[in-house]
Parts: sequence; structure tokens; C-alpha cells
Amino acid sequence: MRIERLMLERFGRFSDAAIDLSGADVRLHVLLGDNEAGKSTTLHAIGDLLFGIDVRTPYAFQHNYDALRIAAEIRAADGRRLLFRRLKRAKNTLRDLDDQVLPDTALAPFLGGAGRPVFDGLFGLNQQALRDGGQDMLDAQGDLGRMLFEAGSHVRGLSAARKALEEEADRLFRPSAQKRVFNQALGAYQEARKRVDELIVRAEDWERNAAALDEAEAEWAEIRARRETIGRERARANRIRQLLPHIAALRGAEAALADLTDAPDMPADAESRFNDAVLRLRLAADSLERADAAAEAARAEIESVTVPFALLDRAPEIRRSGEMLGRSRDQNVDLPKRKTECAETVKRLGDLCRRLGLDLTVEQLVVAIPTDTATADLRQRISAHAAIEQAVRDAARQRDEAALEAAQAAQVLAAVPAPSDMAGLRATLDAVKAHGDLGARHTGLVQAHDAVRTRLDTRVAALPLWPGNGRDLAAAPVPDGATVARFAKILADAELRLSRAEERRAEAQAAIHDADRALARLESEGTVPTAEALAEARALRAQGWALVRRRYIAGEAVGKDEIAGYAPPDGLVAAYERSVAEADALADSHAREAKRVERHAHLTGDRAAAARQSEAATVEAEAAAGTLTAIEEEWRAAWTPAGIAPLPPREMEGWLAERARIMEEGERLATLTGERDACAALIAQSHVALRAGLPSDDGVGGDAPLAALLRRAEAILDEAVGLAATRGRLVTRHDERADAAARAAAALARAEAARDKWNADWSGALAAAGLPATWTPAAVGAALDLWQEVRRAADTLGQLTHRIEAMESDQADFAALVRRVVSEVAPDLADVVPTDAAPRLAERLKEAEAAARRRIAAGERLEAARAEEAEARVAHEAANRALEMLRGLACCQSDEGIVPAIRNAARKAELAREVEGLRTTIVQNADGLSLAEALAEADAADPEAVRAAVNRLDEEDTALLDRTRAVSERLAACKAAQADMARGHGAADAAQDMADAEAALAECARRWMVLKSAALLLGQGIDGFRQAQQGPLVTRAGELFGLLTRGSFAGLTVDYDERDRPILLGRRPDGARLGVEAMSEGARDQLFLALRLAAVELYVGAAEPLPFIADDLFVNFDEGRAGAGIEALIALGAATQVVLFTHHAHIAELATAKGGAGVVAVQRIAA
Amino acid sequence: MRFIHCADIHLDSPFVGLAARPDAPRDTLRDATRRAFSALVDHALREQVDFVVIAGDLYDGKWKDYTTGLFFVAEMGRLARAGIPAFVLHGNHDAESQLTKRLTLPDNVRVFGARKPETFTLDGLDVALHGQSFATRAVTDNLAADYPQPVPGAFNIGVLHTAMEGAAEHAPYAPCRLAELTARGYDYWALGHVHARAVLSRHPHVVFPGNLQGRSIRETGPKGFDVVTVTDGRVADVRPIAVDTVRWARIEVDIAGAKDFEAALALVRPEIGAAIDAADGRVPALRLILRGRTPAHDTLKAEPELLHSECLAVALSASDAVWIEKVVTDTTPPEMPEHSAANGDAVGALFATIDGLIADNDALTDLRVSLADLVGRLPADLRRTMLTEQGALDPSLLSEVLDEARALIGRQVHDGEAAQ
Repeated sequence: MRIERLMLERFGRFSDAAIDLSGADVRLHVLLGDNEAGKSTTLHAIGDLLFGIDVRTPYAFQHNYDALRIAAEIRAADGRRLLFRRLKRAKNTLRDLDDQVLPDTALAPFLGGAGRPVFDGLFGLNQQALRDGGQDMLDAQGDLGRMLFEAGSHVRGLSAARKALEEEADRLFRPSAQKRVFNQALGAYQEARKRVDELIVRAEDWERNAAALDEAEAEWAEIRARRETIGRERARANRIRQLLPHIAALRGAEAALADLTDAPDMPADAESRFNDAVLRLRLAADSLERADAAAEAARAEIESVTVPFALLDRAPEIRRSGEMLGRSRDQNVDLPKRKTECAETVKRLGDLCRRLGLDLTVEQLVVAIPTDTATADLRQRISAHAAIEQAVRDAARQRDEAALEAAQAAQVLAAVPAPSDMAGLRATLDAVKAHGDLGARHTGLVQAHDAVRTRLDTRVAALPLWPGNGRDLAAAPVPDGATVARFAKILADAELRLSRAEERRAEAQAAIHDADRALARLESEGTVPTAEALAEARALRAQGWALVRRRYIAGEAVGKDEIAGYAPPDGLVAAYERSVAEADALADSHAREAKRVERHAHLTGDRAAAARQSEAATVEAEAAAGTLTAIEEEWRAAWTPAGIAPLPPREMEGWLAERARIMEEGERLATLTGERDACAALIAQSHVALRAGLPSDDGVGGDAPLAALLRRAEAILDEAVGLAATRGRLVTRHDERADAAARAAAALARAEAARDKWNADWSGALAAAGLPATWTPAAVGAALDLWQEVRRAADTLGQLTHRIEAMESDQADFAALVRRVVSEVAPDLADVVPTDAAPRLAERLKEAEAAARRRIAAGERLEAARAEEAEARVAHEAANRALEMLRGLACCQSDEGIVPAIRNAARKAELAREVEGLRTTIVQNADGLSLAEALAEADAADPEAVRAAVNRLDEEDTALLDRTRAVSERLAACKAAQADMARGHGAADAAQDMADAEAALAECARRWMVLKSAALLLGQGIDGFRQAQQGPLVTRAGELFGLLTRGSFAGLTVDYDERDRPILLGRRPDGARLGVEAMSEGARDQLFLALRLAAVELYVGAAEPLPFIADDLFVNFDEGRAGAGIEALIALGAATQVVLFTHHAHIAELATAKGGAGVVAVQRIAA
Repeated sequence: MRFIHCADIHLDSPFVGLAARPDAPRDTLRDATRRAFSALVDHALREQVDFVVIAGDLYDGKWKDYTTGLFFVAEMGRLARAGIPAFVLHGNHDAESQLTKRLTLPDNVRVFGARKPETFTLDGLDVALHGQSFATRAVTDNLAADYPQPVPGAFNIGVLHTAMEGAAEHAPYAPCRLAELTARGYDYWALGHVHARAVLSRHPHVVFPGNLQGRSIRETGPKGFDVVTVTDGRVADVRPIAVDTVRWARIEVDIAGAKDFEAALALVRPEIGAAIDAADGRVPALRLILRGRTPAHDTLKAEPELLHSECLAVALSASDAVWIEKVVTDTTPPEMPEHSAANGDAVGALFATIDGLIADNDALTDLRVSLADLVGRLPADLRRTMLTEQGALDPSLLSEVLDEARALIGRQVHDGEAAQ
């Protein structure tokens, strides 16, 4: 496939750009573009064109995704062409240039099954890919299969991929290596399996343990039974051994008790009661002694203390004087100040009195102060006075304003005239308006009229044959339709007759013509010696003869004209001789050519018949023509009155129809004219009526249109309505103003009445306040303020006077109190001032009170001593009584006998209790035996034998106990083992681990198999490719390599490395061989290019060729090698289309130089 | 009359086929079969059923842990205390099991003999149960053929461990035909061995209850037992009761067209949600299989752990306990052509060679030996699944491996193309 034309309609920065890649002989297309010229865009566009625009193409920066389009014309190897367009769409991306959708497979025949990877990878090559390819070859270390495959395919790194697969497989498993994933998984599996074995609880273990458990339990039961027997025996022996001491004690106690049978019984607490009584007796004696001493001491104290009772009796007064002392001292300071203030206040009152204009003493002034009621009344009146005066002023002002407004309203109202009666005009207007918009109607009618008129005139003018106007047309005496139809018919008949006659004549003429031609043919064969010709020849001969005879025989003069009429110029004789000869010849041939003559006669007959027919037809035609003419004459005559030279009747039928339509139009015009005129009349009539209704001095002229009059009338009516409304509003306002004025006057009257009343009341109030009747409210107000000050000063004076009096009274009271007390209880202080005497009195009182307290305390102690003494006496007596009772109980007279008696009684009781206790103990420890049985058992037993039995039993039990311990340990162990086994050891978990490990192992194995297989298949696949391609590819690549290295290498050769792998070597012209690793970087690049170009050649040799797109391949080549590269591309150009993109002008020049203009086509690209 | 019919309990058998993952809910998996069986006993006690029929394979054949048997005895003890009898038939696994032979069962448990068919009746109930346990692991005789005639007037139950005919996934033990069973005159055939629940016939009923707890991705859907209600001597209702604690499900999601990883996840998300809903409160064990031609292919393939984590996160957002057993990315890249020998370029030649190698039986001898070497190192059980009886590599396995290998090469080629 070749691209003939590439059209970048909307792509990248291109808009409607076209690149011509045509030319069957062109081997190399060089597309030269500066940087940014759109070279890469074009390169990409080719791929997008053929295989679809990338979903996220970066080339939609100028045109939207939806707008992107690339078109091209391509040509397949077999010559087929396709002109198509590629759009950026989700589907239906292929279109023809008419935008009809092409199937997605439309390009398939041109691509030969290659996909974009093949196109981009194999058929596209740029500098970087070249460099990478060279590097890959170095990495391949000469591995032929790999080098051939990578250079010859569009896939990179597949050998590396194979290696990676192998490595991954190796990581998983390698037969000889241990630390692989597989082995680890296997180890994990085996570990888990081992754990399952270890953790599993086996039935045998369970059963063995169960048997051991049974055995231990049986032994345990046996031991327990024996120990129970031992226990019982040992209990009996122990019982006897335990009871023996108790029994012995019992017997001893019972004997002792018997010895004390006679001892008196005493209370259990007799001894403590005795001791208590003795003690209390002694304590009571001590108390008596102590009380006596205390009483004595108290009495001595009482006597030693002197109490000044007189002073104590005055204690309240002394304390009071102490309390008054402080205030008295303060007052001594305060009193002079208050007196000064008092004098100042009196002076101020005097001043106020003068300011009031009164001549009164202070006391009189105070009395004269007006009462609060009077003051309040006056103040209220004063404040009311101002309001009342203000009210009168306000009312007067409002009355004046209202009156003024009322007057103004009246004035305004008077200025507005009373509305005139507009009923007439209104009626007229309504009547006119009832007709509707007359003006518009009239205009419409006029327009319709004019339109019809114009149309009518046009039609009349267009009507043929009629020079006049429409009106005359209507009046013109034209034939009616029936007449025209009749003429049409007879004319048609006449014409038919005529045409038939002419037809027949024509037929006859044709027959004549045919006969003439036949005769002519006959005659052309030679003159037909017809009888007529013979006769004619003879007649001519006779005519000649007659002339000859007349001229030459008769010698008559024969006119030249006559001779000329007979003979040609050669002379009469010759003519006569010729006619004789002709007549003779005719006569001869007439006889000789009878058949022709007959034929001639026949033809002549036919012709004559035809001539007759023709003639008859001519006659008939003429008759018919005459008739026709007559009819046409008549036809024209029928139109003459109308002055019309008519067309044929058929046409005049149309004319008449048009005339009828024109006449209809005319009638319509007449109707419209009538309506228009009626409308105009109505307008005029309305005009007059409205004019009459309008004021005579109205500005609207008599020639104003009706609409203007209507508008005017409506305006006047609107104005009248407005005026009436305005006047109504003014009347209302006037009435309101008048009412307001009346209300204001009334308010003023009320305000004045209030003022008058206030004036009247004022005098009374002044009198009540004792003020002069002439005083104005202002004066009274000022006086009241002064009175207020007088009242305050008088209050101050009163308070001061009262305080001074109180202080003086306090001073007097204090002095009197102190003097009184001093005179009564401290005469030595009589000369001391009260303020000094009072403290000293207080001091003395304090001392006296201390003495009194001491005296009271001594008294209380004395009372207590007396009470203790009495109590001790009572206790003493009680103790004596107790001792006496004990003596009675003990049956002795003295206290000394009491104690032994008490001791005996106690011993007796104790023995009795002991006996009882021992008996209880014996019974309690006799294991259910009665006392008697127990005593009997003990009596019967031998203590020694019992002890021996106990020892024996103890020994046996100890031995059994040891066995018990061992058995219970076994039992516990068995039970624990059983519980442990019942719980399980986690074998199921381990089994799950084992299953997990097995799964992991299976996965690992499976993965390894896949990797291993893939690596193997890939390796063998690449090797297979090598084997298949090696021969032709290496040979062709060797040639190209030689070309590209400009003879530095002569070709390529295949050898085998130490591992017997085929490797590729370069061959120098001298036969030396060089491995890829030993080649220069440039040589490697050229080797890769050679392999690639060879692969492309092989590809296009086997499949549909694709264009080879080289992108600035030689940018790093020196000029010589670049030239060689270009030559290689030109060589490839024989097999498939080759396009070289470059932004180096010198490459383009070099290409042109290498290939020549016809072989290398250079064009610039620019977006 | 009401009874429970269950089979294939496989107490304490492990979950199969999960490579241990740190996120696997081990605590849920542990004891799952025991919990399922305890739930069955709970149900029997709660609903006061008249008896319980266990139609074989209580244990895994090779499983020797005595505690498993003790657990069964304890559960039977619970039934005994409630006066509920249990009829146990030994299947192929039980016949192999040591536990069957060593355990002492409570009195309420009656076990069908293995020598000949045996019939049990129950006091107070007109019911007769006929059955014959497996004497050995592989019973290939038709046991049902010798089952006795029905007891007249009684509700006759045939208890049988059988693969029927043609249950391809199960060992073909005690084969018989459905028509044979329905013609026997019994009212109900309580079958075991096939792990998928199936009601093969009604009146008479022939029922496989399926196993009690699915243990691998091959055993998907609800698992449990059947409660059979008999009214007037006729089956009135057969109701499956699910007692599985882990529920397996395969979710195949077509993510064709998903433009990236996120979009693929967005398509997977509702499917996971639906599967979790379908798990009915059980812990779902999900295998996700992503299919289709998608631009997300490369990312999905390159990030299997991330994909697994994301799927798990999606699942965990919908359920507290869930297990993503495996995420299989079976997608293809959108632009990857079908690589075939038809391609005219080197790649075409490559695949021509590869396809030739795969087709040529002799060409891969070395590979087969190499693969068989690895298989030879696997544990016996695993090895058996990969080798033929003659010890060669299983051809279908080899075929699958080669297919995968070819696809892997295809992807490498695609990557190589992308590297251009």
C-alpha cells in the first residue's frame, strides 16, 4: 500500500493541509520541516489515519476531538485505490469523502493484516529506536536468533522477557537448588504434615489412658474402704483413751464434794459483797474527813473578803455614766458648731423675709409660710395658666388658619366653572363610534377599490383586440357564447372540408408527380414515340412545311417572329428538316417501341386521371375556401359592431371568458365604489354632527379629518369628566375647610372660656394662700420659690435648735448622774469634773465586783463540803448494813468468820459444777454411749492394750495414705490426659495449615510449569524464527550492511559460540570477522538498520507492503554514511513506499543528489 | 412426624485450596464443620424432631484425630438427653476411618450394618429405616439392589450412600439408577455422597441434602440439611436448612471497557455487595474472576496484591467478616491482537513456531520430563491429581499449562509492543 495523498484536514496545528506522496517512480519521499513545523504531527497522523485516532490523542489542542479528521488517498499493491477520511469517533470512524460511513474493514485489504504495533514498530524507525536497537544487539551478545527477531519484528525485549520468565521459574523451582519458593512451600507442607501427626489424638492413646484411669480408680476405692475400717477402730481406741482422764477426774470431784456437805451455802458473790462493804465503810470515813476540812477553808475565805455593797448597788448608774462619757466628750466639741450654724440660719431667714417684702420676725415668718396644699394649688394653677394661655393662642392661630384655608377653598372653587352639559356631544360621539372606525373602513374600501380598479385596468389592457376601456368593453355588442360556438363549429366544418379537398389534391398531385417521374424515367431511356409526340412532330413538320411553303414556295413574307416562334436561330430550313427527321424517327420508333409507348400511354393516362382528380379537388377546395371565406367574413361581420377584428372562434371563446371575468371585476368595482361612497357620506355626516357638538371656538378646523374630530370630542368629553371630578374634589375640600374653620372657632371659644374660668379661680387661690390679689402668676411663682427656701431654712433652723437642746439636755443628765453617784458612794470625788469622775467610778466598780465574785465562790465551796459530808454518812450506814447481813448468812458474830464461811461455800459449788461438767464431757466424747456405758467401757478396757492398738492402726493408715497419694496422682494424670485429649491438640488447625500449604504448593507448581513452558516455547519460537529467516535475512542484511558502512564491512556471517549457539558476525573485506560487541556504536546502529531494512524487504515481499516511515534517521550520521543510508532507503523504495522525515535541509539536498529529481521527491511541510 | 436428613459432614476436614493469606478469617474457618453440625443438633433439639438420619461420611477417611469422634459422641449425647434417636450410615469415608471403628456411641445412635441391609423401626412411630453401610472405602456394587421390601403400613426410608449414575465430580460408589430407587416402594430415599443438594424425585422423594459446610470453591451456595415433615404417611414438606458458617461463591465480573483500575473496581463493587447479600449473614468466601477486554488489564495484572486488597476493602465495607479467597484476573488488554501464525511479521512467525511446538507431541518431551520431575516431588495426594495412572503428566493439565504459557507469551509480546 502506498499513500498517494495525505490530507491533514483537522489535526494538531494543521488545517486543510495536504501532502502529496504520489509518483510511481519516486523511491524516496523526503518531508522537510523545521522544528515545530508539524513533522511529528504528520508522522503520528499517518498511524492514526491507518489505525484510528488515539482515544486520548494529544493532537486535539487546536481542533476539538470531534473535529479531528485526516483524509488520504491510498493505493494497494494490486492497484486498488481508496479515498477515505478518518474521524475521531467511538465508532464509524472511516468515511468516504462524501461522509458516507465505510466499514471498519475497508482498510484491511490495504494493510494486509498488519496492526498498528507492526506498522509503528517494524515500518517506523527513528533515531532513538535505531540507537536502542543497536544497544539491544549489544545486549544480545551476538545471539543470532534474538538479534534477527528483534530487528525483524516490531517487538522489543522478547529475549529479555524469556530470560525473565526463566529466572522467575528458577526462583520458584530448580531441581538442584534447595532455597526455592517451591522447596519452601514443600517444607511448609511437610512441616504442617508432621505437626498433624504430632498433634493428632489417636484412639489407642485414648483407650490406653482410659484403662489406666479405670485401674487407678479401682485401687483408689479399695484404699478408701480399708481406711474407713481403720478409722472406725482407731476412733474407739482413741475414745477410751480420751475418756479415761475425765472419768478419773469425775471420781475425784465427787469425793471432794461429799466432804463439804455441811458447809453453809452462800451467794456466789458473797465474798465480793463483803469486800465491797468493808471498802465502802472506809471510803465513807475518808469523805467525812475531807468535807470537814473543805468547809472550814471556805468559811475562812468568806470571812477574809470585804465587799463594798453600796458601790455595787450603784453599778447600773456607774455603767451608764461610763456609756454616756464618750458622747458627753463629743458633745463638748459639737455644741459650739451647731450654735453658730443656728445663728447663720436665722440670719438667712431674715434675708428671705426681706426678699419677700415682708416685715416679720423669724417666728412670724415661719408661721406665715403658705401651706403645702396652697402652694401646690398655686403651682398647679400657674402651670395650667401657661397651658391655658398656650391653648388660647393655638386655638386662635388654628382658627385663623382654618378660616384662611376655607376662604382659599371658596376662592379656588369659585374659579372653577360649573361644567356645561355634554350629553349632546356624548350621544353624537357614541353614535359615530357605533359605526366603528369609519376612517379605517373608508381607507380599506378605497384601497380595495383602487386595487380592483388597477387589476381591472390591467386585465382590460391585457385583453387582446380591445383598445378601449373596461366600461366600453362591458357595453360592446359582442356575439354571445352560442354564436361563437356556432361559428366555431361551421368554421371547423368548412376547414375540414377544405383540408380534405386539399388532401385529395395533394394526393392527386403526388400521383401526377409519380407519373411524371415514371414518364421521365421512361423518357430518359429515350424519347417515347408516343402518338401525341408523333402527332406533334408531324404537326411541327407540317407547321414547318407550311412556313417553308409559304416562304419559299409561296414566297410569302413570313414574319421573323413567326419563324422565331417555330425555329431556333439556325434557320427555318434546318428546323424544318430536323422536324421532318424527328417526325420520321418518331414514327419509326413508335412502331418499334410499342411496349414503352403503351407504358407511356398508361402513365400518361394515369397522370391525366390524377390531373383530373387534382382539378376536381382544386375546385372543391376552392369552393370550400370560398365557404370558409364567407363564414370568416360573416364571423368578422358579427364582431364589426363591437369594432373588433376577431381571432378564430375557439380563441374568442377564451376572450369572451376573460371579458366575462373582467365584467365580474367591474361589478365588484361598482359595489366597492358604492360602499366607498356610502362610507364617505357617513363620514361627512358624522363630521357635521360632531362639528355641531363641538364648541364653536374650538381650535379644530372645519376640514379636520373625522378621526381628529373624534379625538377632539373624546378629549373634550374626557376634559369635562375630569373637570367635573376636579370640581367635585374642590367642593368636597371647600366643605371640609368650612367645617374645619367652624370647629377651630368653637375650639377658640372653649379655650377662652377656660382662660376666663382660670382668671376667676386665681383670685380665690391667692386669697387662700394669703397673697396679694394683684400678684401675677409669675410673681407668685417667684414668691413660691422664695417660700420654698424659707421652708427649707426654717426646717434647718428647727433641726438645729432641736439638736442643740438635745445635746444640752444630755450634758446636764450626765453631770447630774455622776454627781449623784459620787455623792452617794465616792464623796472623795466630789470635786472632780464628771468626765474624769466617771472613769474612776468605773474602775472602783470593777474592783468591787471582783471581791463579790470571790466571796460567792467560797460560799459555793462551803455548800459542797456540807453535801459531801451528808452523802458519806449515808454510805457508811449502808456498808454497815451489808456486813451485818453477811454475818447472818455465815452464822458468825464477827467479821473475821465471814471470809472462811464464804470460801467453803464457793468450793462446794465449784465441785458440783466440775462433776456436772465432767459427766457432760464424757457423754459428749462417748460417741453416742450413755454415761454409764462409757464408764463401763472404760472400766473394762486395758489402757495399755488400747494404746498399742492405736499405734498399730496409725502405722497402717500412714502406709495407706502414701498409697492414696500415688493413686490420686495417677488418677489426676489420667483425667488430665483425658481432658487434654478431649480438647484436642489443634490437629485440625494443623490440617488446615497442611491444606493451605498444599494449595500454595499446587499454585507454585502450576505457576512454575507455566513459566517454564512459556520460556521454553518462547526460546524455541525465536530459534524457529531464526532458522526460517536466517538465510535470506542475513544475506540481504549483509549486502545492506556493506552499503551502509560504505564497504567497511563486506557482509555478515553466522558462526557458533562456545555454547554452540549461532551468533552473528560482521565480515571485513579482507575476510576478518568482527563480533557485535567489537563493533563501533555507529556500526552497530548500521547493522541494526541493515537487519531492519532486510526484514522489511522480506515482509513486503510476502505480504501487502506498508509505507516505511523513517524519522530523521541520519541525524547523527556523517555525511558519507548518511548518503549510504539514503541509498539504502532508495533501494527499499523499489519494494515499498519510503518516507523520510527530516528537519535538516542538507539531508534533503543529499537525498536529491543521491537519487535525482524523479526518484527523490522533496517537499516542505508546515502547519 | 419430622426428621432431619443430613450427609457428608466431614467433621474437622480442612478448607481446600486456599493458599494461606494473612487476611483469611482463620477463626471463622476453624471449627466451621463442627459449628455446622452443632447447629444441626441445636435445630433438632429446638424443633423437637423425631429422629436424625446421617447418610454417610461423618468423617474424612484418613482423619485420625480421636477428638473429632469425641465431638460427635458429645453431640449425639445432647440428642440422647432429649430422647432423639439418630440413625447413622457409614459412607466411603467412614469405612476408611479409624474413628468409626474405635468410638463408643451413646445408646440413641444406631448404625446400619455393613454386611447386609438392615432395617430399624422406632417405638410409637410407623417408620422403617433401611440401610447398609459401606464395608470398605470403594464399594462399587449396587447396594440398593439388595435393600428389603418396604414394611407395609410404615413410612419407609431408604438410607444410602451413593454416587447414583453419572455424578461426574464424585467417586462412582454404590452406583444405582433413579428409576430403581423410585420403584422400590419406599417413601423417602435419604441419600448421601453428592455434595450439591438435589431433590431427584418427589413422591417418592429421592434427596441428596448436600454437605453441611462447603469447603472449597467447588462447593458454592447455601449448605445444610433437610427437615422432612411427614403427614399421614406422606411427605408433606422437605425444607432445606442452611447451617454453613462460611459460604462460598464464585463471582464472574465482565469488566470489559472499564477504562482504569478504579472503573474496574466500580464494576466489581456491586457484584461483591450482591454476593455478600446472598451470603445471608454467613461469612462469604468469594472468588472473583474478572473477564473482558479492558484498558485496565495491565494495571490489574501488575498489581495483584493491590487488587486483592481493594476487593477485600470493598467487601469489608459491606460486611464485618468476609474472605476474598482469590481474585483471578482473566482479562485481556483492549488493543492486544489475537497473536497467531497468520500475522505476516516476525510475531506471526514466532507464534507459528510455538503453535507447531504445542501441536507436536514429540517436540515437548523435554518439557514434559522437566514438568514431571517437579510433579514427582509433590506430596502424593497432590501428585495424583497431576499424573496419569501410568505416572505421566496429565494431558489435560499439560494442555492447560501450555495454553496459559502461550497466553503469557502473548502478553509479553504485547508488553514488547508497548515498549516501542
